[in-house]
Amino acid sequence: MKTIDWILRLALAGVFLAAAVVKIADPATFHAALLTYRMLPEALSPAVALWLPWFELCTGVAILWPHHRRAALWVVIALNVVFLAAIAQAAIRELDIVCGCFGRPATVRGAGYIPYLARDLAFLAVAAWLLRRERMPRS
Amino acid sequence: MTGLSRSWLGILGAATLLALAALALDPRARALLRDAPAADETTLAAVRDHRGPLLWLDARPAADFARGHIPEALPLNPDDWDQQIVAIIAVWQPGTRVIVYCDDRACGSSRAVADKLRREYQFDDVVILHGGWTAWQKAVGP
Repeated sequence: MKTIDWILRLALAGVFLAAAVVKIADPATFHAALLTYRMLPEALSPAVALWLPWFELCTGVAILWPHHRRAALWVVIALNVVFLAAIAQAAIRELDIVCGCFGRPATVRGAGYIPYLARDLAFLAVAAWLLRRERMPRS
Repeated sequence: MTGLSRSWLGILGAATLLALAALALDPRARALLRDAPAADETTLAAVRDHRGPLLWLDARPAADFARGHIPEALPLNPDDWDQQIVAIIAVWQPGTRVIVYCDDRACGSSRAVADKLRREYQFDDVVILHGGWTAWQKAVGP
């Protein structure tokens, strides 16, 4: 089980680090994607576009750091709840959004929301599983 | 303070310090505060300086297009794609710069249209107007 835990940790950290690096490399594209969710006041969105990728990066590193792992997994859960809420509100309002998640920005509309919701739910489930394992006796 | 809280503060603090460092050292990060266009966007000033054929595409709903649009723009929105794309293909030629716009910076339909033109129709020069119809109206007047 320990091996599976490490594989999941590495995968989750890899996802967060990859997502962060892409956004840090091109903050303007991430900012443009963020605006399409129509959740933040325009004055605040540049600060969020600047800060969030570094927060993802630090979270990715912390997942691999035994001392900070539990805190990082809670952050992953909180972030994915926010991402799910952002996508869900856009789906309800029938907005055309740009994911801005990894690499090349992808536009999302209609039934296209479902894979993104499923993916974030999967990340949330992995983080919750790992957090539960942190509290169990090692096997 | 518990170990968990200290870790949270550590992650938050490190992210904030790194973001501030990026702001100080990375011109792309500073450009965010100047409302600079993204890599796939163009500005009205850049359009004015462009030499070569242009094709304006309006990605807003048909009713908005009917109320007003950029002169010579053709409508092409994701909902009416099949009817509207025919006229676009008829006028597009290789070497034409296609500029897609929707309402403002927060609308995603211009990106949906630009993505589809690049991916499915192999249009090689498709950009998005930074600020969209709102920026045009601000520059030109109602």
